[in-house]
Amino acid sequence: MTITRTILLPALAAGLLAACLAPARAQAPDPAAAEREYRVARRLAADGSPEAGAALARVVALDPAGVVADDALLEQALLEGLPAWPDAMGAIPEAGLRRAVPLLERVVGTLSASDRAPEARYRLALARLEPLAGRDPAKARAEFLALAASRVDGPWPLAARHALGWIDEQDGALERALGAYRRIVVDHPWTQAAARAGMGEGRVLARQGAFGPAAAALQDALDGASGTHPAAVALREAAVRNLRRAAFAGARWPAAPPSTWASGIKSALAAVALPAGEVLVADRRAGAVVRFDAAGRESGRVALDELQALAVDPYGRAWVAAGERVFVLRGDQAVPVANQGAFAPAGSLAVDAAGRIYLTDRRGDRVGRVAPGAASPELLRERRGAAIAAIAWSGGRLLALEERTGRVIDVRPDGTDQIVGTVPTTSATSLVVDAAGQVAVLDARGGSVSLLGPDGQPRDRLMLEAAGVGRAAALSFGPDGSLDVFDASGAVARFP
Amino acid sequence: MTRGRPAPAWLAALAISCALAFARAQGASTPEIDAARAELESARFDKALALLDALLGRSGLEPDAVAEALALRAQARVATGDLGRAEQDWKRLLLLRPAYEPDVATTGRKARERFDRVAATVVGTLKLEVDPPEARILVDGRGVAPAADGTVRLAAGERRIQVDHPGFDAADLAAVVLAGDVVPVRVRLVPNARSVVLRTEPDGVEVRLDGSLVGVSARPEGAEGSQGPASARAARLVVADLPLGEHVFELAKPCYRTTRVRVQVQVDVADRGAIFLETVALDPARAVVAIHGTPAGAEVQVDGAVVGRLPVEGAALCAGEHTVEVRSGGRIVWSDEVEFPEQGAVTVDVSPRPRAIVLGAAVWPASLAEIDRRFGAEVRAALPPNVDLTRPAGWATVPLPRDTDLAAAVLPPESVGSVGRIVVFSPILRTVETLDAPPRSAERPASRTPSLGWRLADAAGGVVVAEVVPGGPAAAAGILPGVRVTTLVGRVSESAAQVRGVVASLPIASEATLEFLVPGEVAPKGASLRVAGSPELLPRPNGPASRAIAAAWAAVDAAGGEDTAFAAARLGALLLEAGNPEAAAEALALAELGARAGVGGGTIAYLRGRALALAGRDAEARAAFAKARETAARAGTDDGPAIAPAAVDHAADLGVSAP
Repeated sequence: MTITRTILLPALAAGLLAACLAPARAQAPDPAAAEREYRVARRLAADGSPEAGAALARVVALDPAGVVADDALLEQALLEGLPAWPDAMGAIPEAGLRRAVPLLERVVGTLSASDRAPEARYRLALARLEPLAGRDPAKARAEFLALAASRVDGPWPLAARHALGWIDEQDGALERALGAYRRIVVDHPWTQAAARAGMGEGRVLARQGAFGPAAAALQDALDGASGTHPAAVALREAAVRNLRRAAFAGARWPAAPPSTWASGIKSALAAVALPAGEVLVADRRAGAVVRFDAAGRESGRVALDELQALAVDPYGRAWVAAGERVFVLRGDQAVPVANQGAFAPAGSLAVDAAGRIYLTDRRGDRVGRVAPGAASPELLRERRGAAIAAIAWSGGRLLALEERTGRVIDVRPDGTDQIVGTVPTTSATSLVVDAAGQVAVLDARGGSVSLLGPDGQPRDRLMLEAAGVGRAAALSFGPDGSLDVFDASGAVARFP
Repeated sequence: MTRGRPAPAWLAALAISCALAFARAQGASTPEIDAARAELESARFDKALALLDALLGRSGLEPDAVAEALALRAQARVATGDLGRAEQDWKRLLLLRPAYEPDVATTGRKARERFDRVAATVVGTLKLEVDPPEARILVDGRGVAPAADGTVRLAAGERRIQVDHPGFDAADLAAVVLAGDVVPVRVRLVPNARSVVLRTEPDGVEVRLDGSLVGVSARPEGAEGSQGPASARAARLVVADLPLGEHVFELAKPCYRTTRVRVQVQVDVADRGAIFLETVALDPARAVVAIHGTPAGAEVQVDGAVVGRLPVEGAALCAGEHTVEVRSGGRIVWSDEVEFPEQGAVTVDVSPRPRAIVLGAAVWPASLAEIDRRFGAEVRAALPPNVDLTRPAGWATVPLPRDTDLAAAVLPPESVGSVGRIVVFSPILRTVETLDAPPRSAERPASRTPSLGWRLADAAGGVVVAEVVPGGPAAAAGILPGVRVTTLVGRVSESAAQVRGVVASLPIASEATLEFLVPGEVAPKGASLRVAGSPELLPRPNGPASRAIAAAWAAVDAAGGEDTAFAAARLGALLLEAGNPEAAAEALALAELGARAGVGGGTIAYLRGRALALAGRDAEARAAFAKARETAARAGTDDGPAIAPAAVDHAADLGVSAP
């Protein structure tokens, strides 16, 4: 036995080694060919050719550690649709992310000294933040911190610092987020990162109720940014409105009558506004989610039976609870992502920046949570008789509206809760939150909308009948802070 | 019989050997002569004679070689007792070398007597008496050196005597030398020039004679501080052997009026000593100079010597072109070459400005003329060879004068093409800007920018005042956030950017009329805002001034120009941006803005914190950020965002938890 092992093991090892080396000998690195192939692949990628990915893979195969290997790997990953900024997350499919991450890991790991390594590091950290299964925010934060503190040239350390601000913002750590954003704005003015950070500043300041500085920050950001940023424009408008309201009108709704239009919706169940100003309305009777553009014209619809709830997440993605499932809308398609399980039929729906889906059962006693990639929800909170009428995700917290008490509570990740504020109503049916964190609660029976600040303090009460609105069924806050009220007749009133 | 016998061969050889050893050192040398000499030393006289006979039988020998050969042969003949033929050799030899004397060691008494007899028939003596004694004497064109008694042995016959000496007319005469006799000759030269001694006060006077520089006057050794007469202490210059006639001396020294002295040189046979001119005292030539400008109290140097502090009034300074430098804050803030007139007054106006150097252009190209006009500029035509001036590392090899704030180079088109020929190097920032076009502006970047102390935002319905900076003009006028700006200085507001442009055009300290609408009101209200001047720490990238030019002005202003503290703050911000944190921290330490609203002490603390953190001085950085976060200071300009949140974030990087 001993003799056999003595002879056979080395022979086996040698054989294995030879087998491993054989392909390497067969394909020695060819830098010149790799560079030629890279030029072709880059053009294919620019043309949007489906062959681009394979061409980039060939570049890496020709010279795995060559000067263009990092470019080829990174650009291969980018073809999967990796976002450039955190607020653009949520768009890449899970399969694409699974293909992109190993490519990025290879650049960061084996080609860490290459010139594209900082970008790969940034993209990899961002990929770890994607609201999908396998999300690892702690690791992402550590990566961003390391990259932000590095002194490598290029925009990536700044982009990493911006991402740190974004993480804090989504976690509700607003002061820390403001610090991260402000630091970029102050230290690196006139850069794209500063423009992005300025928008983050604007969001955070608005959430803190500092509407004037928020508007100013957004103005600076928009002046310095390239391209259009409709969400920032809308938020600036919202900040200015709130500023003027708070400063001169006692934070009250303007006396001016709302603009109205006929939506054709007969049975509005819920409504959400998308960042570009579009509005989605769930029409229970029609069995469809109807899309309206910013001017109130219908621009599309998605048919779904047994509609129950509608939500929009921090990335502007629309989510629908229907039947026994939860769907995400991609264009005019509803893509199922989770089962409602024991919570079906859902009473209300919310989605956070991590991609976690929150839903209540029909009676509003239980709150469930579906982790990204999980098939069905786990129980987060159960209170018999709580009668939660609506939930909404806002700035790092899950707000829930108790129908009978009119209380708005903050449901914490461990299932405990804290009262944020109370609305004087006996029939609170709808809860919406604007970009500045202001909470509007619809009292359908009482015909009023109550407005609370992010701190829960009452700010105003809008009497709908006096404003010419009939029986209200749903609310939505526009990105510019305007409030849309959908009544049972299909009319929509927009309060600026 | 013994006397008639030749000397023993060994004895003769020894004597000859000694004599030849000496002769070898003095006489002419040819291979044949050397061979003959060797034979003589070996007492092989026959062989020596054979060699010498053969040599003297040849024609075309040099006189010295003939003389040497004759001397050797005569010795050989004396050694062999052939005195008769030795006499023949001596006779021929004395005609060539009248001063020849046979060696006493090898020449016996009898032979000596025979030699003397021969000499008395061939050689005579001149006894020369020459005045001046140091005059040069030539006999038949060859220089002679008379013995101490003035005698010179010469071959008998008529000889040409020439005597000359500087400052005298030369003498040329004939004399007959009588064999065996002494003939006296007296020569007295006639002087034709005299030395002149110039004496000057002060010393160091440059003296030109008839237009040519002849020297500089200097005091005699020991004259300094001596108690002797003034003329003995005076500086002097001896001009030797000045020809007869009229001459002009020009005496010149910086700071003195140039003086001319005419001298008539005459000969006095009785007094051949130098002419001592009266001491010439040069008149000082000074301009009355006033130097005005800023910064007050700055040290003024002329040609490196301190002449006072600004303002300098009525300084009596040497006339001529001088380098005037004004120093403040440990550096030169203004310098120029200034011509002071010999008489009268001049006023020099000083305003701090950067020092610039241009390489590669004999004259400033048109595109850099603005820099030439506005900067204390110096042109150096030559480009350093084989240096890449498009990179800071290239400039590191170029020696630049101290306190150079800006350097530009015009590269040859063949090296870089028609674009990017002008590179501007900032020795302060250690950056290079390559220009395809002329610098946008070499104007002094404004140290302050107009500010109304507000931040604006576009909104539906018009431009809104989003934020009012506490302590600023808008706050002072009672403007509240949220009002809508309708007009500013009569111009209808269209957008936040347009209103900002209007503000930027307003003169600082002027009054700006504002019309605004309060929400819910129909009639506009009016207000008057006093335009404030805000620091602008970093010039906008698309603004008129390049970073290099901004840094140059900031460096000068920080040392004593306009708005010293603002300039130091800007310099610090620019250095920080350029990645030079230590220098940035140093500059920011000079930026004393105190509790000023807007950009103030908190802003400086923040910038210092950043610089110190980058430099690895964490403890100091933490303290700076702690100070910054406690203030309401703003970033960039008075209308910029508050820096406190950013300071908290920086401090967190250094391990400090948010308060």
